[in-house]
Amino acid sequence: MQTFDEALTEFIERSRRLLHKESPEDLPPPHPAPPVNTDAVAVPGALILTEDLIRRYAYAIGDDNPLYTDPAYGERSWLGSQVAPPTILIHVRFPADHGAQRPQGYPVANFLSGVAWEFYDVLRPGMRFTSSKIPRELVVTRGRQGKVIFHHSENFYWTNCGALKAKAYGRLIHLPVEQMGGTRVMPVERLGERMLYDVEPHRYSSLEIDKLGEALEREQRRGARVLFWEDVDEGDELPNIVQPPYSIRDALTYQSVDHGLLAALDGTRLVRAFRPAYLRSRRNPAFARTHPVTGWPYTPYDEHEDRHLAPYRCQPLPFDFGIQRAQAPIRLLTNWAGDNAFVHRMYTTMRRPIFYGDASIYTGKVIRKYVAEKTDAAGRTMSYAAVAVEIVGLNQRDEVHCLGYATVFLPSAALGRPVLPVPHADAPEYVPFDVHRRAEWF
Amino acid sequence: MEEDGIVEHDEIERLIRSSGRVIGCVAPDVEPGVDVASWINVSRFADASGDDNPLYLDVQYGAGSVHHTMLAPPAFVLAVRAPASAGVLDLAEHRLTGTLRSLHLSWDDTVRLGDALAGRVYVSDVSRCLAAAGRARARVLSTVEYQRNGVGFARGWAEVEVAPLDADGSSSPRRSIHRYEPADVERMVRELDTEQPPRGAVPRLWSDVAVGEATPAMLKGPLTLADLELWVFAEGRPVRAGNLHHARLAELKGRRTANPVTGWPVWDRAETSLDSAATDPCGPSAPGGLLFTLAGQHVTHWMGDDAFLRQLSLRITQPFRYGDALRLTGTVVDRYTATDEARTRHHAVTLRVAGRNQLGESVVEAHAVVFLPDRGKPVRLPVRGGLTCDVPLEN
Repeated sequence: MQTFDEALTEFIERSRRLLHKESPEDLPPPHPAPPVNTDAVAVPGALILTEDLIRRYAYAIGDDNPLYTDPAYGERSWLGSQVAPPTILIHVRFPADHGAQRPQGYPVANFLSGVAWEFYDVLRPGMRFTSSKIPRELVVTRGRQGKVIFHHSENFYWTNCGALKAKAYGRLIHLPVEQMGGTRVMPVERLGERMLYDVEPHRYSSLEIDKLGEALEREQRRGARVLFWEDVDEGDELPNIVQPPYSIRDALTYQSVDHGLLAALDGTRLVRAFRPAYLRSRRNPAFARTHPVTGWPYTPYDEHEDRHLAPYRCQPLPFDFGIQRAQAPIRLLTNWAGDNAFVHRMYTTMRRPIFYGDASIYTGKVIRKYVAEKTDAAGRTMSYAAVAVEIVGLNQRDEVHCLGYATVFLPSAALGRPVLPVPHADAPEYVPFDVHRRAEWF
Repeated sequence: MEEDGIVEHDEIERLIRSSGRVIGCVAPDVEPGVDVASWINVSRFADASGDDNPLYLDVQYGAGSVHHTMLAPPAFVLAVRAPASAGVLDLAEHRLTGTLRSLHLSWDDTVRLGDALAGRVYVSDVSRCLAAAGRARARVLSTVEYQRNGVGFARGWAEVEVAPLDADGSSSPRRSIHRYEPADVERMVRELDTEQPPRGAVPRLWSDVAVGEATPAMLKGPLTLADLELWVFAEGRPVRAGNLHHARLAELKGRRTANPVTGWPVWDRAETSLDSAATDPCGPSAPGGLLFTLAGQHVTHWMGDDAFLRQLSLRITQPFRYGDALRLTGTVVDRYTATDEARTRHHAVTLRVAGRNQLGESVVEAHAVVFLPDRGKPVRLPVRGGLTCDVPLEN
C-alpha cells in the first residue's frame, strides 16, 4: 500500500507524462456498433444537436431565449435557424483534464477552477462533433490549504464537416488530501476531519427573499432589438442575472444532458445505478464511498449532490459543479447584447463553490470598447466591433464565487453585423493560462 | 385533532370538486418526455434500473436477436409519458400530496431502436376513497395510450392517492435511514455477486415452465442518490435551471412550498424525492415509475429475449426509501393459452412478483403476463386486437 506522499508523487509524475498528448478522457460511450476507433483523433462525439436537445440544454442552463428554444423564431432571425448556446460543447468533451488515473485513484480532491472559451461560429441543429483534448500545463504550488496542483488543458471542437467551431482552455485544481492516504477515497471514520469551508445552509430573511424575488422578476432579454456598438460606453453595466438558491434540481441540470454521452474516465460505460454500479465499485474502488449512515461500502461517488457524501470532497454541504459556471454567465451577455451580437470569448474562474441553498447573482461591466481584427489561415482579415466585459458572480452573502471576462462582438453602424465564422488559424495555437486569464486577452 | 380532520376533508373535497373539469381531458400535470427510442434515450433508461441486458444496450447483440434490432425495455414508455396524474393537485395551494399507488400497462408489441413514440395521458376519474383511521383521501385515476410510429401499441392506467401532508410535511410514517451491520453487508455482497445474468438468447419455452416455479431473486439497493438521479435522466423530462423553475412554480401553486432547510419560499415539493438535505433524517424515496421499471426488469430478466412482456400491474404498498434494499422475487402462478383477433395463439404465463425491503416489509406487489415461445412456435407480434383466453377456467 502506497503512502499519501508516494501516491501524490506518482500522480504528479504520471500526469506530467501525459502533457501534450491526446487525453484518454471523455471518449464516446463504448457504443457497440459501428465499432468506434477509440484511438482516433479527432475523437468522435456522441452528442447530436437536435431541436429538442438544444431546447433542453438551454433550459438546463437557465436560458429560455427563443433563439435556442423556438425553431420558428430562429428561422426569422438573422441567423436563419435555431441555434444552440455554444457552451453546449461541454457535452462533446469536458473542458478540463483529470490527469493520471488508476482504479483506486490518487489522493486528490479536484475542482474545476476555470474555463476560457473561444467561439468562432454558431451551432445549429443537425451538427455532430469531433474534438481533441490535450493537457498542456501542470503547475505545483503551495497555497493556503497546502500543496495545490493546477492542471491546464486545451480543447478543440470541430463539426463532423471538419469546421472548427470553438476552443476551450480549462483549469482543474487538484488538492492533495492526506486523509485519503494512498487512494482517492478517505476511510469513512476520517470523514469531516478536513473541510475546505465552514458553512451552514443559508437561512433566508424576508428582506433577502424580497430582494432576490424582485431580481428574478426583473430579468429581461433584449432579443431582436439591436444594441449598436456605437451606443455602448466603457463603464456601462449589464443588467444582472440571478439564480435562486441552489437545489438538488440544479445539481441535475448538467447531468440530465450529459449522462450517457461520455464514457467514464476509464473508457467504460458510466454506470451509476444498482448492481452495475456495485460491480463498477468492485472494479474501481475510486468510484465507491462507504456511506456514513447506511454503512454500505459501495455507494457511488455523488459528492456534489448528496449531503452525506459531500465531506468525501472535503465539503460541508452539497455543492455545484464548477462547469455550471462555465456556462450560466453566457445569459448575462446575450440578455444584454441581444440576438444580433456574438459572444466570441468568455472566461470564468470559480473562486468558491456555490453550496446548497446559495443564490447566485452575476453582474457585468463594459471595461473596453475596440475594433478587433481577426485573420484566417489564408490571411483574410475581418474587423469586429468588440467590447470586453468583466463578469462577477456573487452569492447572497456578497461573497465572490466567480470572476471572469468576455468579448462580445456587437452590430455596428460602420461594420454591420458580426460576420461569421470569425476568421481563425486552421489550428489556433495554445493560449497559456497566464494569457487567457487576463483582461487584456478580451 | 377533529379540526385537522375537517380541514383535511375540506381540502380533499375541494380537490375532487375542482378536478371535475379535467376528467376526460389531457392530464395537466404530465409533462412530455422523450419522443424517440434513440440509443442514448434507451441506454439512459436501462442504466437507471441497473438493467444490463444487452438486448437493451448493444446494437450488435440486438441485430443478432430474434427481433433483428436492439429493443427498449417495455417500461421505456414511461419516459414518453408517465401516467401518474394527480389531477389538478399541482395547480392550487393545499397541504396535500399525491402518491402513485398502482400502475398497469399492457403492450401489443416491442419498442425498437429508432421508433418514434408518442403518448397521451387522460384524467379518467377523481373520487373520494376510504382510508385507514378514517382519514380523508382522494383517488385519481388516469389512463394512457401510446403510439409507436403513429400506431397505438400500448396502454394502461394509474391510480394516485391524494392524502393530507402531516404537520412535518411528510405523507408516510417517518423512519431514519437504515444502517446495515457488517453481516448484512456481507450477505448483500454475496447476493449481488451471485445474481444470475439475464436469460438472454436461450429461449424459455412455455412447455418447460411449471406453475410454482420461482424466478431468480434480484437485489436492488441500498438505494442511493445516484439511483434516484438516474431515474430523472431516464424519465426524459427537461430539467430546468433554478431561475426557469422558479418562474414555472408560479403556475404550479400545489408544488410550491418553502424549503425546510433554507426557508426559500419557492421550492418544489417534488424535490423531496431527491433531496437528502431537505428530507433529513429520513432521506428521499423512489418514485413509483422506478419501482414499476424494476419489477418489469425482474420479469424480462427471467423470460429471455424471445419472450414478450404483455402486461404488468404493480401495486405499491410503501416507499422504497433512500438506503433501503429491495429484494424482488417471483413465482409462476398460471400457465395458459390465449388467442388474439388475428387468430394467433399465444402461450402465456402469469408471474407474481413481490418486492420486500431489508426489514421484510412489502414494498411492491406485481403481476405480469408473459408470452413465451414454445417448440416451433416463436412469439408472434404484434398482438392484434383483444385476447380470448382459450380455457377461461382452470382445469
